[in-house]
Amino acid sequence: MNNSTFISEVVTNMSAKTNRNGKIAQMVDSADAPLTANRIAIVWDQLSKKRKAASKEAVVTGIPAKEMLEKPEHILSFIQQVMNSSCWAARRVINSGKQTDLANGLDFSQSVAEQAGNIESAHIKDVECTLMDDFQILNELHSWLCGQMNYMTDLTHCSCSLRKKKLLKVSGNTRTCVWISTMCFQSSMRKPSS
Amino acid sequence: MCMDINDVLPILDEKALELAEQGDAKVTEHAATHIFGAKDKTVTKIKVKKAA
Repeated sequence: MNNSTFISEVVTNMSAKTNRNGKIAQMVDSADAPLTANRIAIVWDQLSKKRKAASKEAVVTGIPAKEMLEKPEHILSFIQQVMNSSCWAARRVINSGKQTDLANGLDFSQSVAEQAGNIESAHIKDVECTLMDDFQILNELHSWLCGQMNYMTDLTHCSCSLRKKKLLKVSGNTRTCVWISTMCFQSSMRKPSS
Repeated sequence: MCMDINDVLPILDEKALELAEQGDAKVTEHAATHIFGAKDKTVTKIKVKKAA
């Protein structure tokens, strides 16, 4: 394994947001481990222990524990979000390499590749290799966490690129909106114009 | 020698607590030190040997 990865940069970018995943990303950034996957696992462990301690305290004191805003189960959707964002980062790098040469000796694709994932080049093979390595890391982490949270019955596997699509169902006079999950790795890699 | 069940229960409780703590420590260690996504080198070596 080399040092090129999208994960750490994606998590750092997510930490600037104020939503739930942003808060989890801040916790991940502040965790103490060299690899981002370990930091995510540590945050999950900390959240689990925090909840266990809170429920024990609630039993002792008789006062119900406060509802946690970030729960250990949220880490699974956070991992999927990191994987999705990694795909977007990979797409940005690939697209930067596709731009027409203006013959002025300037090539910004390498700096984009370095910024997005510490990749040496914006060549599609390098980007794909890095993305697949990231997927392998996050997939193993996701599977391990699923094993630790086997009390949940509706667990889904980690996908390389998962998006939700709005589907309108019409039956008679009633219209219902359904969100379905689609895996579209190929389309996420495509150029916006094509 | 048979022990009274009332004497055994607290010992079992203590043992269960000890095992749960050990399990938690193992999970914490795995979370902090395991290299996720790394290929299992031993399996690869065995496969290479078999192929040769």
